[in-house]
Amino acid sequence: MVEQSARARNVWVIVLSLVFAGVLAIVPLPLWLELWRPDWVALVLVYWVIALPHRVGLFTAWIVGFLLDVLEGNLLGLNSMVLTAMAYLALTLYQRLRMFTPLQQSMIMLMMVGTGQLFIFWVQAATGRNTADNLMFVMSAVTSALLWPLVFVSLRFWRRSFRVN
Amino acid sequence: MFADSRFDYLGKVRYYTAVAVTPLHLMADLPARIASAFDAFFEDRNALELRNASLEEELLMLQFKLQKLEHLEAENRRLSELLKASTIVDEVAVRAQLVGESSDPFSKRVLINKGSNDGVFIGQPVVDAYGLMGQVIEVEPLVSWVLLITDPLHATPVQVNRNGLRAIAAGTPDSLHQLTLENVSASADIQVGDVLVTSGLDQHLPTGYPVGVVSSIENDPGRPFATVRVKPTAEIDRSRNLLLLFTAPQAITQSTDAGDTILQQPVLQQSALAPASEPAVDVAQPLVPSVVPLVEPPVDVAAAPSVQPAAGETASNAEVAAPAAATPVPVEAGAVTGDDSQVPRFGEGRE
Repeated sequence: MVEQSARARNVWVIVLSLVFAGVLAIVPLPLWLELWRPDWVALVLVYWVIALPHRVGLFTAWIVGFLLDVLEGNLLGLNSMVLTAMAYLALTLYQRLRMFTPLQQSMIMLMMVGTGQLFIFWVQAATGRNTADNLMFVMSAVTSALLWPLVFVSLRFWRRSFRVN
Repeated sequence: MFADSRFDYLGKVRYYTAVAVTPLHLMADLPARIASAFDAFFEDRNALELRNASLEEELLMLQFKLQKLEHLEAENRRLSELLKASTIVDEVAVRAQLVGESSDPFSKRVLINKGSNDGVFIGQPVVDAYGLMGQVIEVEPLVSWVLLITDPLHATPVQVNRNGLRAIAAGTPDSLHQLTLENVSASADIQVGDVLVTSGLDQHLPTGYPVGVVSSIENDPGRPFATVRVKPTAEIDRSRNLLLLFTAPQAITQSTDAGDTILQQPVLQQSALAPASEPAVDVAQPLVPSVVPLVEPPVDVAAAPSVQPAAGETASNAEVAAPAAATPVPVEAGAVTGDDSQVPRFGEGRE
């Protein structure tokens, strides 16, 4: 067993995809569309956890979440916590998740992102940063679930063509 | 999370991490920039000429208004000195560009491309060409977050320009273009079309900047207060060019000839106009050292001379961008004190 270098493992593909997801997470959208903005970072992160559980794990999730918090001007640690929880779920379930059909995986994403959103809004409301009076924000979980197959297929394509491992 | 919301010590962590993630903001803004550059490049010549003509016309009108403004401001200054108003607030505007928006659909915050490196501070008022936009709530080295006045967590102390009636304009959760006046009694003298300006009672927003126009009033007999809706005058969702206001309270110059000589000094400096020309004027500089380099952009220097000889004198150009002279309050913004270094800065603000 010879340890490959990071370059050989093409870790940069992972980093780049996460950066791209981060950009998508902050691209300005019209107000009505913003409610439907999918949780790009969660989708990409969960994909990498399922695909390469030995490479992307809780620590990565925490760091990514932290950067996302700074990026969004959010409470520090909020996204870290949610993304770490998601990564933990994906990490414990990855063998099962790999066997699931895309539809089943989408359902799992719906639950995970939806719960995450609820938690985020609960904390924001508790700290007085949010005055939302309806549950429309959970809609981003729906779009996330709908986009999951697309994210899955495209990231798998990149992973295979660059032999990321 | 708890630590961040309750205590202060994570501020530094956030501050330095922000440097690392700032490029992402710029990347996210890139498509819009490219699109506008593309538009500018392929713009029709006729359209450009038309636009140029209309801008020139607008400039003429603004200069015309400015002539009056000079006079009014001088008068205002003399009157406020007669009243021995304690301070005159001096304002310097620095242009900033919007580079991002909050991705949270419920909070109305925008990101601007000036940060602590440019001297931006928390609580700093931000205006656009038409009125108050918001205030800075978070400062990072290169960028900062501005809370818009329409955010439900923001409330602006205002007064009706017509009669000085004071109220508080709060943002609403449901609309980007609406404020409501809180606790206005049903019998208050307020009408549709009234212009609201900042009252300055919060002691950090400057006095007299337009906030909004009353768009509807509902008097429900079953309720103690009227429902007053206000449409912000600032182009909250369209402005990409914003102005950061640096305010520095200055004691009124108590010299006997204050009224006139103060007005004269900037005239002399107009001709030179170079930021370097600093005659020994003894008035204290506003506390914004890092602003001075921003004077540099060549566009502004080119634009400024064509404006200013005709526009008359004094440093009140910022008032064109935000016509604060509308207020009846004597303690007025945009002081004319001979701070020559303001001149190019205001020129910059006008762009």
